[in-house]
Amino acid sequence: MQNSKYEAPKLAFLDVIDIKNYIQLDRTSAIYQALKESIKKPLKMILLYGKPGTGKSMMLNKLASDLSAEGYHIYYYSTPLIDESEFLKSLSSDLFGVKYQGSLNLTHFIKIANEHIQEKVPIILLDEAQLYPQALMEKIRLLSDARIVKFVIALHKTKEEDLIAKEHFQTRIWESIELKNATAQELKIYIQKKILKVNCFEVANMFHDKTAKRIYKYTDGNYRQTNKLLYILFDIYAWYETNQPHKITKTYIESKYIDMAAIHAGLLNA
Amino acid sequence: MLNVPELEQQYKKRIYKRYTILIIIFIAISIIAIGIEYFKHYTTNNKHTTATTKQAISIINTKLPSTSAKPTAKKTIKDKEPSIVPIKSYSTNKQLMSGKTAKKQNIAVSPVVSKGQTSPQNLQILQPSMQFINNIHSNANKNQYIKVSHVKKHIVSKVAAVKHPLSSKTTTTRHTAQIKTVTRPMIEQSSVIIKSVPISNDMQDIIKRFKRTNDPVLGLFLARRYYHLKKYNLAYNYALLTNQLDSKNEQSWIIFAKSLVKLGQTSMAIQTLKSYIKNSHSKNAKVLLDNIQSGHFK
Repeated sequence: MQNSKYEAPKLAFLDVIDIKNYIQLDRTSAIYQALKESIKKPLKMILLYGKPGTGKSMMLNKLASDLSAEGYHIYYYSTPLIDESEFLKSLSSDLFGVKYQGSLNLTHFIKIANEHIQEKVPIILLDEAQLYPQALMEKIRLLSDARIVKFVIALHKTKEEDLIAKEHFQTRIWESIELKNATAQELKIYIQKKILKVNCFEVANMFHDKTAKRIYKYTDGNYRQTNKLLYILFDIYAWYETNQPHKITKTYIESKYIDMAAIHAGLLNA
Repeated sequence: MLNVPELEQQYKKRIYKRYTILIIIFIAISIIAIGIEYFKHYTTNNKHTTATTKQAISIINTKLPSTSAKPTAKKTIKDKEPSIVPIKSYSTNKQLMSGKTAKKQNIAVSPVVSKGQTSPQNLQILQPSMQFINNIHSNANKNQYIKVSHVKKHIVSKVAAVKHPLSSKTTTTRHTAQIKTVTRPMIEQSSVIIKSVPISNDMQDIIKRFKRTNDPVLGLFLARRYYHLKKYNLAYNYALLTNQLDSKNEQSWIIFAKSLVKLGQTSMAIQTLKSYIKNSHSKNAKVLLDNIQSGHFK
């Protein structure tokens, strides 16, 4: 299996957040630039929202990496810190280098922030913000209002999260950006670019419009689902290449194997 | 670890399941479509049959009011056979003679529907038995019967009407017009040949035909003939047979009752007429009953 030509593309679709594998599509590129410009503006808060698997985390990672390189004081919080004291202590440590002992409340944190005033307002990227408790979200709002920290909040777009956004950020957010699922055409480009990144040109050419449409049918353009499906698909191809090579066509991806991958991924009922 | 063979089996099962559903849907749609087509076809045929039947019934009803709805008619009488005019009553026949059918030569031609006939194309025509008329003539000349002159007078007028169809002043009625439609042109051109044949042969022939066919029209004719010949026993018998064949035939009941009166069975005649009137509400029967009860008819 190690020598299979499908092994490298398979690994390319492992669902891990690696900014090296970030694929710039026309639409996502435009959104990314808009987000980047918004951060540079004197805005209190920025909301980035979309369905799961639309690339929010990847975009925040990419943003953190790029702005950090440009000299911004930026931090990415991938997992939510639910406890208020722990959250403020993390901020104190990351932003001002102060490791506070004991319980830290908002008043003490503001004192620390005032003692360590910086030229540029530090930026905190909060992923999965819908998991933060309401009380803590109020504290985040106060910190934004005091212009001590600039927050970029990424959350899933559901009815409940829309409500949270309305309640807490309606009057404060100056920029709201939505990430959407890819179209069939975008999905084809995304897949081909991913495969080309691992230099598998022959495999990349096996993806035609029809193939992309079939994959889109099962994944609805969701990047996470697409990654999962393609990982399984290449696994199947690798198995056939090793065990029954006469059964696979090397010029295009057969619908049969996409269906099989979809069944295994739980996207299609057997 | 991915179990590809098992996954392939799952895929195949899914494909079979999908095709099975598609086939079932296709079969279901086909059955529904065939069913609809069959229903349409059946409905169309039914309408056509109903229309044809109605048309046939209307023709029969308008053309043969007295012989209509005769389900017990046993035989189709062929054109070439010596045919008989089914004279229902003296008065009815008189009406026919007096002008209703006088405009055409074939005035006495009456179509008779044989058993099971439903379309006008199958209608058979009874032609006037000139041979029979001739028999009456010869019988009258021979003075075999007392009141032959009465019949003769009628027949003479009938023949006169045949010879001078346009002499009648009576306008053609709907009834006559419809009879005309089924009359054959050949009949119009045919000449009347009167031959002298003994009446017994003629009557025997009718009796034979009646026995063979059980045609109530013939039965009624025989009953009427024997009544006029004052052979009341025979008239009674044939009227009774006719009643059995066609219980709704008013004329046969009247002949039956009259024969009973003539045979001295007045109370039985009254009883019979009452039961018949009760079922049929026949006006003619009521008139006869009144006449019998009042003693006008003896």
